[in-house]
Amino acid sequence: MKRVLIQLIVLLSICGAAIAAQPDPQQMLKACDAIRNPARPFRLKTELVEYRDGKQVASNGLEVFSKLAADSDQYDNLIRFVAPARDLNKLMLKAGRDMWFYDPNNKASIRTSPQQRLLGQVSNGDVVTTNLSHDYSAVLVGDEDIQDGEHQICHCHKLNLTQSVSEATYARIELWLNPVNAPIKAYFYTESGRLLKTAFYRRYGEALGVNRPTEIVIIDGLMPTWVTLMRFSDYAWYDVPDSWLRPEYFSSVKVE
Amino acid sequence: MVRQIFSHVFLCCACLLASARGFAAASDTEDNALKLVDSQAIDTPASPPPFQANVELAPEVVRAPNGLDDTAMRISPTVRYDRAFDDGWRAVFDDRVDYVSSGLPGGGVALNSLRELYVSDRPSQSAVFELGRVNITNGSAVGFNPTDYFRYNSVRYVVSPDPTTQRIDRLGTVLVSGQTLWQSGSLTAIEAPRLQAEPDGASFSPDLGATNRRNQFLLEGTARVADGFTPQLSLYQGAGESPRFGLNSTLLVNDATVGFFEWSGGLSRSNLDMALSVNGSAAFQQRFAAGFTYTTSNQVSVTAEFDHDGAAPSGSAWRGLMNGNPNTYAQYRQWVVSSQELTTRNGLFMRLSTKDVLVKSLDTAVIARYDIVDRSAFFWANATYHFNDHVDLGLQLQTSHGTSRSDFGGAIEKDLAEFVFTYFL
Repeated sequence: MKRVLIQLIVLLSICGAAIAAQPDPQQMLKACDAIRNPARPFRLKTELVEYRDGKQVASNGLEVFSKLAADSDQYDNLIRFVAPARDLNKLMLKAGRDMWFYDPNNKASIRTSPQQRLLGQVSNGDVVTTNLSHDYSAVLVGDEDIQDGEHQICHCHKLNLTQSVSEATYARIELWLNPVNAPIKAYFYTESGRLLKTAFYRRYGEALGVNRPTEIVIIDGLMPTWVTLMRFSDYAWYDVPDSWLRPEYFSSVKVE
Repeated sequence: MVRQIFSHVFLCCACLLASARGFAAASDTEDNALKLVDSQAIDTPASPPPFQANVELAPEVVRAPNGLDDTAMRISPTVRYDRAFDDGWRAVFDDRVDYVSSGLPGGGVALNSLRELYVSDRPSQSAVFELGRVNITNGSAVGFNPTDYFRYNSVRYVVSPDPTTQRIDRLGTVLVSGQTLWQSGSLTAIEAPRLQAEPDGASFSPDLGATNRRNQFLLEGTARVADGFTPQLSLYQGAGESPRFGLNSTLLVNDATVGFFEWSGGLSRSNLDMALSVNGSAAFQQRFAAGFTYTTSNQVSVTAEFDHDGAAPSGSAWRGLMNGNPNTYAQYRQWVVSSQELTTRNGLFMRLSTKDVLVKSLDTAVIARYDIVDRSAFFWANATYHFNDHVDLGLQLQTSHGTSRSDFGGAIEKDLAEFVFTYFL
């Protein structure tokens, strides 16, 4: 009897520990954000290359300047176009739901809607820095072994993310995180449940003190032969002035 | 019974097989995409150089209202130098030459447009001063901008009827300006002095008389009224004129729609009196443009705008002008072109644009203008294919409809077809 009681106590302890160790999905998402995004204002370079049916059809060079908004734990972003030459020094600002586009040639600041894409196949939300934990509520679905972006089998936690604020780019996301909560793969869905795109986060490398993905491969949900490669480089701490995040100041933004 | 069981088992197996195949297909798709990008070498984008240049070659065919056709070749090189220095100073030079090789209006002669030449200083991240020739554009509307105060006489050669392009291909104004920003607003003051009495049509003249014919002053302020709503108020005064007040505002209506409203009002003579240099009585004149831009999920953007110019001729005044003295009519039309005001009191503007929709790297735009007063219409279509990082190939077509002296029926270029080859260095 005594032996059975001890066994029961041990079993309950293990269950209790297992329950206590059950990770909080929102915390996992925050940890994932910390891997994707530096915590202080920063800049980075992004190369966007689009392929259709196996052939490269377009490329863009961007510089991204990001800092956390004063009254929110979401990022404000200023995107500067650096290639090709026809788009040089054009700017895109995303601050909350506000989006602006600036062309230095006509000096016009044009307010755009979130639905208006400015960069080929990818959404504006794909190129800007975003904290997913701010925009989505996470639920842990379970653990799965999946193939990662480098053709390896990876044991992952699968999260189901549901849009929690209106400025979120997608209605729902399925996100796979590895054991240290680094993003490996994601499916992005419309409100009606249609798969919009698949993303693989890969080629992890050290940037600003943290191991971060240096590439995202995006596969179109409707046309799977439409592929976009986003490559990130030249991360650097950068004190992004508040004035840069204001459309009134666009004509004076100048980076060397 | 046994047959039914076999049938169910067969169906279940078929379904399982189909779903297994579906999963495999999805994995293959992902694998193929990953293998594709694995093999690609990509360069890190280099920092852009301060010097930019491009050249346009544009053969065109024009049909005048009298039915005569003419062909022309336009060559337009553009250079821009924009350099910032470590201590907050910045220098900008922007120049364009338009050479048209025919007997068309403005043709057979090169026209240089010194669009910008200025220095700026940024003593702090929230203050900027500028000195020199600066292209100051203003206005939240698309087809008609009553608060774009420095547009008068600024276009030396009209390359395109697209208002976006006209804002690029124009002269800046020589001015001194200062801007300061704070958390919930900004203030900008601009003073543009009188430098030359009359415009100068000489080919390589800086044409200061076009943009600095009189002293001008502009004060602009923005204030964040609510989240996502930061209207701009402006006060403009040109020498010999009463002050004009202005308002610009935009609003995100929903995820796909942006609304805009632009208004300007003040005591002034009618457009006709100004065009004919008549000292008529001044009255409070209002000009405004209101509309919205809607973008569909497949990236077709539609802008619809209502334009009103209270100082422009109403129906009876316009009919009188159309049927009156031809010289007076011509003088007024010329003034409208240079001032970029509306020809008559009310108009509609629509712009439809697509990017990568029909063909990858193909941008298309269609503009329609409709004069509500005389029911004339204007259509312009443009398709630009980005052949590679350095070459654009474009085709522009335009046509006008209306009676011979109507707003659009009386345009100098009734129909036009132009092929534009652009090379970016």
